[in-house]
Amino acid sequence: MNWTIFKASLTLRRISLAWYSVGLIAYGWMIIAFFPLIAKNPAYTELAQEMFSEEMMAAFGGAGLELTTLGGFLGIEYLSLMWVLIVGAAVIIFAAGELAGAVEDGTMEVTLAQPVSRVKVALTRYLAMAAYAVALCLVTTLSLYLTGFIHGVDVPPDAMALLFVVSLVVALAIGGLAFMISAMTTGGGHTIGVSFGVMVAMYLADLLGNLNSDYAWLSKLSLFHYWEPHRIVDDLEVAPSTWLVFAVAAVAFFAAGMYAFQKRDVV
Amino acid sequence: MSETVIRCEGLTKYYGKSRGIEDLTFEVRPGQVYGFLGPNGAGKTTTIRCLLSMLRPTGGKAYLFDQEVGADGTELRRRIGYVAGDVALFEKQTGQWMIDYIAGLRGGPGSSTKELCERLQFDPRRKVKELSKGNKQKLALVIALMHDPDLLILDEPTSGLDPLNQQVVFDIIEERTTAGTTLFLSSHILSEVERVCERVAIIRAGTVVAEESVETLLTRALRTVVVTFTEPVTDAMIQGIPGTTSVERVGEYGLTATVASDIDGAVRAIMQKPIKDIQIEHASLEEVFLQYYGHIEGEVGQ
Repeated sequence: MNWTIFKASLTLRRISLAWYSVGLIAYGWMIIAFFPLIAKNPAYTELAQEMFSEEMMAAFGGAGLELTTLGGFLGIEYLSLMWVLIVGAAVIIFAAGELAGAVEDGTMEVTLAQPVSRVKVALTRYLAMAAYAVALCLVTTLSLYLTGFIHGVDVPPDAMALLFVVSLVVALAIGGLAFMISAMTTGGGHTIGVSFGVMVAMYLADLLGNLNSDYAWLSKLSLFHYWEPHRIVDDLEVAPSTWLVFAVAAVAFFAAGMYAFQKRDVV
Repeated sequence: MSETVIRCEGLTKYYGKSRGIEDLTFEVRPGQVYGFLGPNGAGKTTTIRCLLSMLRPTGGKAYLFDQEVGADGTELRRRIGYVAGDVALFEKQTGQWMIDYIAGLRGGPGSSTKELCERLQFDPRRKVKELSKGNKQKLALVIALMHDPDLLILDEPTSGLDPLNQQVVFDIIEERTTAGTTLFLSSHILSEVERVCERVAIIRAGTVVAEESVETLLTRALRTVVVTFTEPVTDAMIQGIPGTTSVERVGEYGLTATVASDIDGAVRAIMQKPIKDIQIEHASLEEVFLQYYGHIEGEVGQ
């Protein structure tokens, strides 16, 4: 870990961190503000069920969920898809800029001309991305809890604490994927394109698996399949497979990225 | 004291099937001021990037301060100051931020940062993206020189600088080399190399084709002499200039002579007649290549 690089990485992203945080707070606040209206009026739920087919619910990561529970509502409207999009985009863009983007714009050459090893540069930039992810997950959970307090919604603090930890592992898995691609490619644009391509492919695999039982196996290949925020919020439960898949993905992608960065040309 | 500061033994780098450098062998001794000459695309920058561990060589070995440049070379780079040919900096930050960033990576502020900024008339408070190409080059020079490195690797260091600042840069470089700093100067500008270097390697198509002292190179280099006389040029005047490879009449009063050797004799012969104006230019590096190493189509000036 190199403190100078760590500080520089976060300094360079402070504006984007602020904007993502504003987005997460605003979106979370809106969802929490709406929840009492939905929960206290069964007519809305019936209307929603009429309006949204099972396929559409599955498309938003809400297959089999109830809008009337906080976990179900947050899952469908926010955490299952929208949150993954916002935080996924944030960590992918961060990771893309830290390695491939820096190689492309030449700043990696300036850094590596100094007495600092590639291992240290890559590790520190990964840790900076992890710190960025911590901040985003903290903003997510704290904003839900505090806006719940404002709108009289009982948002359990222990559920938010657990949600923070699991969402961080999810963010690290997605960020790790982008970190690995960033270590292998030249150009932040390539990293972002490939990473989003993989995410979209996994989303579609999960969707197809949810819609058609013949393709249920396909769903299991997707990270989205293991992300069940409603269970965390409603039941304080995390499936062992969730921990396992996201933790293994995060570690494996990170290790592969570190290895690839040692082997490559960095200009 | 190291026996050699830089040593390359058969250093080779291919980008896929494309040749970067091939079987490159040369060495630079402590305190030497070494020029690395070649046209664009010859492999100068590739060589430097292999030395700094940014590129992984396909074959051969490179040594800095008698230690093999392995997978890392971190500690070796502590003794090196480097200016890249294509200077890239953190565009949204200020020059001072850049200086502090490099100081952080090197474990402390540079001993000559303030002096360098003053001499180069560089204002570090401005954002990098607001700087001209010349000012970015100044910043790159400040961060390369501020820790007083034992070895300076400069890739086209005066690119973008006006003549006054080029002068300041060469004054600084000369002070450093006089004090014992080894200089490895990559350039395609012969006059730049002539001014500071003792020895040069000429690289063409990824291979060192000649390594000799600057004195020898310049003795053999072409010069173009453009003269305007106060009286009409005669055939006798043209034939009387020694050491030329070609002489062309330019209008009634002028001539252009390409002098391959004995510039002193050629100028003396020209001065036999009253002149209105005279201009002597070094041949371009490409012309030197064409003269001494033969022209290979498509290679020079890639």
